[in-house]
Amino acid sequence: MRLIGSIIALLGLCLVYWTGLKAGASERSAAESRSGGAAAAGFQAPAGSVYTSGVEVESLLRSWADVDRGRIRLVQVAEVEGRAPVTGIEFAARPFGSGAGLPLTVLLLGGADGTSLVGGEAVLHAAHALLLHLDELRPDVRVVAIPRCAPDALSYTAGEAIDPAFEAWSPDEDQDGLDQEDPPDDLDGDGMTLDMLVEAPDGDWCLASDRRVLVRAGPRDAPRYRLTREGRDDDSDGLHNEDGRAGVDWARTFPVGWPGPASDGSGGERPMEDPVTRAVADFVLELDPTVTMIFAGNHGGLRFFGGCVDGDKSERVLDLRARLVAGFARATGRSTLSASAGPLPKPSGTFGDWLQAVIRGTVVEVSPWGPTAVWMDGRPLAGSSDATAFVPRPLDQSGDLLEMGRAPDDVSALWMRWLDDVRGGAGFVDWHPVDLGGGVTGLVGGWEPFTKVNPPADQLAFALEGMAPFVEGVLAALPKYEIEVLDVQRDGSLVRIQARVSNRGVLEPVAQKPTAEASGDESSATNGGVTLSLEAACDAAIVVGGACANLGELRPGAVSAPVTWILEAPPGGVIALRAKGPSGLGVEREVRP
Amino acid sequence: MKALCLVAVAALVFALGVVLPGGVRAAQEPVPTPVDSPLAPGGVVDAQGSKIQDRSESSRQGAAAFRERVRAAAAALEVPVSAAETPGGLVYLRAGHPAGPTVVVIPPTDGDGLAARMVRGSDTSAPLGHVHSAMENAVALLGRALREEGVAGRLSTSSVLIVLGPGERLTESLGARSEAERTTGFEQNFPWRWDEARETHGAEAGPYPASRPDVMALSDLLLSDPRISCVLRAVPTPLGPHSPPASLAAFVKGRLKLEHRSPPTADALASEVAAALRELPELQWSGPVWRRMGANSWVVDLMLENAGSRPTGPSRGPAKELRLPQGIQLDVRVRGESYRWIACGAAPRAPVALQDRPIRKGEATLPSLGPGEALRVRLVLSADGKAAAEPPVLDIAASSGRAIGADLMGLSPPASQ
Repeated sequence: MRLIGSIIALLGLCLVYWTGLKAGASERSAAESRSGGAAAAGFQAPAGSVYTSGVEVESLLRSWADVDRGRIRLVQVAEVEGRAPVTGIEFAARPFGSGAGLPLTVLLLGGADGTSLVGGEAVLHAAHALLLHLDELRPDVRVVAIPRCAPDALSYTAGEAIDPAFEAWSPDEDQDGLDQEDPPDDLDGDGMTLDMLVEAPDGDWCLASDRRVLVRAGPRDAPRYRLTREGRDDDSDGLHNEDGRAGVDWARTFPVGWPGPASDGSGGERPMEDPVTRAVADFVLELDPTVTMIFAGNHGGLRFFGGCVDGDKSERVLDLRARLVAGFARATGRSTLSASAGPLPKPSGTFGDWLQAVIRGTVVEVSPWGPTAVWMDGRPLAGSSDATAFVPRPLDQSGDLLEMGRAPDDVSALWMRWLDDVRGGAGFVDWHPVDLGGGVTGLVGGWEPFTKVNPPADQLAFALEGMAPFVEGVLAALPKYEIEVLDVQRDGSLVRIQARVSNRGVLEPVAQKPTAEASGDESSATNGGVTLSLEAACDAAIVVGGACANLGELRPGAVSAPVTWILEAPPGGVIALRAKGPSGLGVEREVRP
Repeated sequence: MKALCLVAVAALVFALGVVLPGGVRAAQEPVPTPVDSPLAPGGVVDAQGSKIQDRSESSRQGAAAFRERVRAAAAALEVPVSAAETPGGLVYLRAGHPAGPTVVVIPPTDGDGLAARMVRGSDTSAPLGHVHSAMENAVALLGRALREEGVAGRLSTSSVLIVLGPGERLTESLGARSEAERTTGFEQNFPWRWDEARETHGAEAGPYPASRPDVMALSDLLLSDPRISCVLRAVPTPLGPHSPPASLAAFVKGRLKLEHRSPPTADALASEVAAALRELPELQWSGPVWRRMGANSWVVDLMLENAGSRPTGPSRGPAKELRLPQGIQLDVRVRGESYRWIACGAAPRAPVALQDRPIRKGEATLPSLGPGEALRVRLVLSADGKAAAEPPVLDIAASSGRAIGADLMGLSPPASQ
């Protein structure tokens, strides 16, 4: 009896163990499914707590491509002799070359301002998150991620070694026959080359009431300063640091709003002078992305571009921006921004300004870092204030205020609050005098590296929080057409079919303005709307209705009017319905009446 | 094959430079780098980019014929003549002194842009036909210009650069342009006020400035040579005072701050070339006056005048803003080691105090001079407390990229002092 009891108990234990095993396996299976199967384990994660160097980025991208070569591949965006290559990664849920088109392209660009290392990190993290769910990516979408658009400039920002050939390629910025004869210098010997103020009657800047902050000088402000990099006038030409290291400033070299050839040569002798900028531009033009997200800047929010059409405020553009802003706020928990409805910043020669002017899709700058990215005591530092109001306040020209300096603008005030309350004042060198020779005194100081432009390494994780979910959200919200078959009736050889199309997407990132290229093609005949076409077997004939119906625009969430066909078709045949949007996005459905 | 072509090109350009009268060696000029020239044996490509003639014996004969034409041009014009290709692929002919100020001439076009005209040419049936015919036109143009009074002598201190057309590499890249790029207009694609052109003309302005290879090559040529003094271009329809955005005229006037003239006919163009050469800014030294200041120091006062009809360069503000060479470069060398040159002053008019001009390694920058303007220049020389055995001997050179320079060699105080 005892033996029987023992056997029963043993069987019971086995059952429990087996059940447990099964449950565990089921959980693991679900987890693996969620993470794209066993392949997900092969996607090495970016560090997240330290910055990734150019070499490490290249290596990481290669390792990702090696995991699934059929669906992930490296792309050489720009290969210019003597320059660091621009490398990206392209991936899609379906294997490349499987025949089906990928009408929607999402482009993630990192560090396209040449300084935002954190932008490159954000692209890496977003791409990694998408790769982990590669099987779940929409089948009609491809993603192209380029973490380091301007690798040489980013290496310079990070203090990494730069290709000697690039260093040797140094334009003579002031065309005096000498190269790099007046570069920035560490004048005060603190190991950093910061900013410098030199008093000048035509200077653009003056000190605010918080003597660390600079404000644009008004007509009667004094003393006025010229802002430059720390360094002496090595070539005695009256200008400081106008002929420094090689390269152009990616934040001001593009042709829309190009500020002209500045005396320091940072914008180039002409727009897009650097061959790398042109190579990257050609790549993007070829790609024709539906949505381009540029991870750069230090405003901590979203920025939109007006391109050539400054202040484009059509209802659908505003709607798109509002949806993106809301999605960004949800993904990051940052304060709601008003940038979607406010006036667009004047184009200033950035990559985004140019892109928005020439490509049909939507371009948005996503800034991982900024005062809005910081939380303190469980609340965002920025509070409910609009930290990314891009319109500067009008100058207060009342003379009595000038004595004590004007108050810093909102964004500067937030930065100072971050500096004082979060960093304990560490990260900013107060303006202090240095002798520039010849009786000239300069003020040296400003933000230390890895403070304002890129976060300190211990803040990197905060800055990246929400970036990947935002990208995933944008992908999920892309337009998605569905064909609803409302009615199929057969009466002998006659068939009546009624169908309509709905747009299940949330975003409509289609052309914000028509391009001349598009004006002559077939899509213009449908005014950029959605078409629904019917294709029957060769032994069928349409009796009533056109082969292709133009449904007009289908905004997110909209449903078209029903389209009815009557056709003569023998039983057993297949009738195909095809819906196609203006960006080439389409869907197909078969009907067997 | 490519390497062979490059070697052939290098040899050809070297030969052109050495053999031609005047000994102008294009290979040593700072701007052009003869990398791949249509002058070398090679095929001709039509406007659609397909080769209409492969590298062949007739091609080689064509190159030899071109060489011969350059030689003949030099002999007929009696000035140094060279031909070379810019890094961007434009082939040009230069007549005159390559180190002097330069007048750039862009030959008549059919209104459809530089490259189209050049590629079509008038004689594409023959190898290098477009370059040959452009060459003939250029020589004829120069011949007419040089017949005008007082022009021929100018080419001993200055030069005329005539763009002949795209080389084979540039022609191929133009042919390979995508359909979208073909819609880009030559006159809407220059890198100045391009965003305005984009707003006005849309895709005709191209995806970015200088996206057309020929616009890129031409703007590179104009940007890279600080000696260019003005740009002449014949257009059938006179241009108004306001240059359209992103046009060649806008680029020349706005970006380079140079004069852009657009005569309507080839004859008028020849007259403009002659006028441009006559009006070139020209620096002239006069009146060295020496004064002995104590036992070991000397002061010498000179006048530097712009005898031309154009300014020697933009003023300091725009020059810095536009990153153009500013002012007049003064290069002073004191022979021997007795004297150490210590100071330089300059002032535009006599009553004004001389303004100190910083000197580094014997070089100083003086302000630009307008037409007819002059500068008083004062140099102070000292033997630095040591007894000088002999009076000083100076070599002074004044130059400005856009002006004919002036040298004073072996300047020394009169024996009476």
